Amino acid sequence: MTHYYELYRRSSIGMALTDSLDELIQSSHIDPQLAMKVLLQFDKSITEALETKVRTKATFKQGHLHTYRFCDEVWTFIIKDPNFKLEHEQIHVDKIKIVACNAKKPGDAEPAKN
Amino acid sequence: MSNSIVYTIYNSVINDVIENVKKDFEDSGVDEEVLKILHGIWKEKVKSARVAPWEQNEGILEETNQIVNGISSTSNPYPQPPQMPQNDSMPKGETAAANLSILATQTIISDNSNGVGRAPQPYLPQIKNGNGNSLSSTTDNITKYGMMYDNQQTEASHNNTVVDQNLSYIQTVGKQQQQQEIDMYIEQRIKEKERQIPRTLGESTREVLTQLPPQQPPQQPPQQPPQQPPSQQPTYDLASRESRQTDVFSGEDAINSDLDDTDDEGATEGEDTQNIILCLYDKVTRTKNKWKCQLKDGIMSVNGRDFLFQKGNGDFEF
Repeated sequence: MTHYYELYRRSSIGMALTDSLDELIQSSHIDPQLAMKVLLQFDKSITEALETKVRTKATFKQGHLHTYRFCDEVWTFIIKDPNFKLEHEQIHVDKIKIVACNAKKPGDAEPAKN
Repeated sequence: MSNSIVYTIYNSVINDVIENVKKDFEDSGVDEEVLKILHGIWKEKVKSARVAPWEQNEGILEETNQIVNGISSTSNPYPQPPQMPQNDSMPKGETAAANLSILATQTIISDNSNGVGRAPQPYLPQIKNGNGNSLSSTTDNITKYGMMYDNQQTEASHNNTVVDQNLSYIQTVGKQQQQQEIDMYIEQRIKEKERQIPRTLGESTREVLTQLPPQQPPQQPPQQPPQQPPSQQPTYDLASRESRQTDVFSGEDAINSDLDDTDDEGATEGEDTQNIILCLYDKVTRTKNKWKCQLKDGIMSVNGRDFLFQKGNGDFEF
């Protein structure tokens, strides 16, 4: 079975799922193993949905890169005052964090080196 | 609005997940009803996060339910709330009072220890109609809410406040308690609620769960810690790793250590921001202080709104 990143569990939809599963576990309706399976399915579904259904392009410009990290194949950036452009909408934020995993699937990510 | 696609994508992900875990639920011997509840709670939570405009025909129901359920929308203000017709009989300012209505109902239910003869619920958890997307059920619910609220109003025409209406509602159901006792009890319940359930939405969902008998004997102790604390990234928690590193120096000259200072600063600045992009990278390059990132498949949460992108290019200066 292909592995999928757990990264998107931190998104609003992922957190909503995690919270819902927590409630069901606490009320003894499901066990944690089943919740785990649901989360794995979520990883798969959200990854596929983003790959196949989203066509939007975004550009980030003029930001000041405050922090960068590269650890375990994961880039983390903290950017101050970037300007986002999505389709025709321009958004300004004072600070944003980018967490980016390698687009090459985890299986290809040479774990033997570590 | 460019994040209008977010609803469609999220909805399809929810449906896809629910569809695909059906077999796992069957294999674990968990009733399909629980899966429906999960579907309902999840959808409701995503909706109430207000990260994207929800479907137009569900919007009216959503608005009505929020008023009836007493969910305060001020906790996560949406920058441009959709203009929906609102239930004029109950302005948003009275949401706190509506909360009392929930508590009052709970009081009645919990007093009926055997669960027989449950009091009518002035609010119906939205979960019940989470799967039936037909518009007719939606309008039915709206009418139901309206009628129930009207009934309350006529019964308590001598009282002006909603709190009093709810109290008289309790009395008409048959509970002959003293008003002071009820006041104190409701106050207690509010405090308990605030302690127990940090999230506003949990109230409605939790109540549904308590009304439903457990489908199976618990295979695991219920106190088992959730396998995924929402605020942490389990796999790549760089910040905590760094803070562990700094702990090594804490025994020595912690205050004057340059390493400590910079690390702490970076860690806190990263964690306290609500704006986050979760994505994949194709390529990250640097020439002197100029960085270029090619990103893809991203979920972006900015100023309380979600955006999705297939490709993203970033140019930053360090």
